[in-house]
Parts: sequence; C-alpha cells; structure tokens
Amino acid sequence: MRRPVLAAAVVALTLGGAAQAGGGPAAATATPIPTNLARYDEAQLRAVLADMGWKAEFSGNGKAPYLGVWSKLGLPYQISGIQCADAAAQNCEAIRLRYRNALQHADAAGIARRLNAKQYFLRATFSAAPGGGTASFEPERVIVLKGGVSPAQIKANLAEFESWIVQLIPGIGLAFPASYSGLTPGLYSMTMSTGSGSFSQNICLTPSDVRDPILKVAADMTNGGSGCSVSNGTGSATMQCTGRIVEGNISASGMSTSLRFSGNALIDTDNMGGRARIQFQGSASRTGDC
Amino acid sequence: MPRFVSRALIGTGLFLALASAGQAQSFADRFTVDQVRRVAQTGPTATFKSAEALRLANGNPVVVLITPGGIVVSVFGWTCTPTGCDEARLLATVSPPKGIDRQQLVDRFNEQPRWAGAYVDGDKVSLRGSLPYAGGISDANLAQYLASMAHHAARLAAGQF
Repeated sequence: MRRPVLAAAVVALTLGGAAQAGGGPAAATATPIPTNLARYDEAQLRAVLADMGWKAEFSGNGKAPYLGVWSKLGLPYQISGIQCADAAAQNCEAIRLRYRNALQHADAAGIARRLNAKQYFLRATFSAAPGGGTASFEPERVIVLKGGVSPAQIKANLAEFESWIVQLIPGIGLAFPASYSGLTPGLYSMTMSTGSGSFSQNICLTPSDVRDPILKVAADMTNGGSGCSVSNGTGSATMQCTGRIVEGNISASGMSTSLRFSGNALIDTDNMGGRARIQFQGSASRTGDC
Repeated sequence: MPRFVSRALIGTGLFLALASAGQAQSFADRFTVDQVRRVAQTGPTATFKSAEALRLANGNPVVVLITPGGIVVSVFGWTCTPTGCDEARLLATVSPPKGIDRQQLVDRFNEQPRWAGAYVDGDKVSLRGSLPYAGGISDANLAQYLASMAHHAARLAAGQF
C-alpha cells in the first residue's frame, strides 16, 4: 500500500501538510546474527539477509546449495555456494551472488567482455541461448568466506552488487522486473503541471514504495488520497484510481533518482459526480533521504 | 598502467623484523600496506617472495607482490584518506604462450565462478578484482584472495583457464 506521504501528494496542495513515512518492523529471525561466516550456512545467511531487509524466498541443493532472495528494493538474486570442499556440495568456502532474471541482449558477449575489462567489483559471464535465441549475460560477484568473513562484509558486498545492478540494467536498455521501479528510496521533489496551473510537493518514497512499477509510482504521485492501480505495461498504462482521479492514461520513465510522467485523467471535480478531463505532466527528482 | 612517483622499498628482511616485534594484527577495517605485506609473506597461504610498497601519482598506496614464479600481483588502495583506504583493488597481468587465443582463454576462465574477472589486455591477459573493506577483512580471508590471484594468474600465464 502506498505510504501516506505519497498518497497525500495532491491532498497536500490544499492542506499543506506532510505525513511521515514509517519503516516496517524488521523481520524476526530464528538464528542470531553470526559474528563470522567461514562457509555457506543457510541459517546464518538468512539471518544476515533478514537483518538488512532482504528476504529469502526459496532454497535448494542441486550441484550446490542455493538461496533465492529478494532485495529490499525488490530485485531478485540467487546466492549459491561454490568452492565446495566435499562431494556432497557442503562446506562451500565461497558464495556467488547473481541477478536471478535472465538478461538477454543481442550483444551479451560484448557487454560481458567490456564489463570484465572495466569493472573491478562485478564480473560477468555470457551464454548463447539454446536454439539460436538471444544470448544472455550474467553479472556476478563472488565472496570468499574461507578464513572468516564478518556479516558487515557480506552486507557491504550485497549492497554494492545491487548498486551496480541498478545502474547496469537500464544502462543497457533492459527493464527492471515489475517488482522494482528502478528508483532509489528517498525524498523526492515533484512538480506537476496541468492546464490550470502547477504545484510542487515533497514526497517520500520508501523502499516499499519503489518496489512498485514506475507507472504505479507515477500514477500515485498524480493522485491524492487512495492510490491507483495500473494496467500492465512498460512505458504507458491505463490507471484506475480512487480519490481525485477517476481514471486515466499515464506514461512514465525514470532511472535511479528521477522520473518524468505525463498523461490525461478524468478527475472528480466536486465529489458530486462532476467530471473533467485534464492533461498533466510532471517530474520528480531525489533530493535526499526522507 | 599506474605511475609510481615515490618508492618505499620494504625488503623481506625488514618486514620480518617488524612483524616479529609483536605488532602483527589479524584483522584490518581498512586497507593498509602493513596488512597486505604481512599476509602476503607470512600468512598461511603466503606465496610471494617479495612485497614492495609504492605510491601512485594520486598518493594512493600500492603493494607489488611477486611470486617465486615471477607472477606480479599489484594490490592498490582505493578511495583513500590519510588514515587508510576503503577498498583494495587487485590486478595481475600475464603473457599467455604464443598461439593461445586470448579471447577464448579469457571467456573460458570467466565461465567459472571466481572472484576475479579476466580480460584481454592487448597481447596480454589481465585479472582484476575489488575487495571492499566495509566490515573489515581478516588476515586469513585476505590470504585467500591473494593466493587466488597468484594461482589463477599463473594458470592464465600458462594458457590454462
């Protein structure tokens, strides 16, 4: 559900108020945060992930143990054990972090090679698609656990990896999954104009907010009160709202710390059935933390 | 290639003398030349015969490690302040045997899940990786990264992935 401060964007025009965005409670963990990890240990990794607001979705053990996880921003990753010392694929002395969705690109090999030549933190592999389809590349990060690693070290690696993924995916023209808008949480200064005027509003986007598609984030920015739902789409969508906007069409794009949007909307003019259609356009840029 | 503007040669003998004075630590929360030298030469997987401390033109420290087989691994301090650096960057450049397809060698190497990434660097092949120090790095853990760099660089130099 949209945070109150975001939902109040248009309402605040008249009220002039700004609500506070609260953070959700940290997930309870059965395993205490370890002080040192020296091999792949699912319980310990789950505890570290939970402490940073990441969620383990599933686990398994094929050739090696692995965890499917969602980051706090809503991006999917897989953490798997590697350099496993025994035949049962246990006692893995390193972990590999990968983005879970296939990143298909006609120039997958070139992207992977350039990334390996320029990057110190990330490395990448590429593979041809079976049947001659589009090749894909996989950015990854290996963390050696042997010798002992602090949870803070693992967290730093996960956060750094995600910061690169957030830049990399739109940078090569690919889309984030619907579970992530591509925006960085924080305080945004939004300006929106219609045929009858313009206004500005500071809006707090929490980590929960940015897990919506960017079209929904933008739709909610245009609407006061109860929020909007949007149809599936990558650049534009129809929106159905409760509150000031009844329905409309919106297009939006953005990356990392800013977004732009425009569209038209049928608005409730008087709470008595009056309707008018307006054109709107706006933008928002991150100005800092909430 | 980085340009070295000053040099502080740390001979093995001097280093060992300092280490034996009882100042050795087993953990560092920032990149330090001392930790890299200590681990490279006296750690459990020490594979280097020399560790030379230098400085880049920008003042960042770098330790140049050389294995008995002649593999050179440079460990750069990155994002530095006067009290230390937030990150270590490791780089090794080798010359595979003539006739070896560099690109194919690099691609096959990168298919394996390893910490460092390889790339074709002219007629040579380079291996690089980054180690952030947030949360600290133990000597025992750093030793794994150094040994891994030396091991894989040696294999690439031999044309093996």
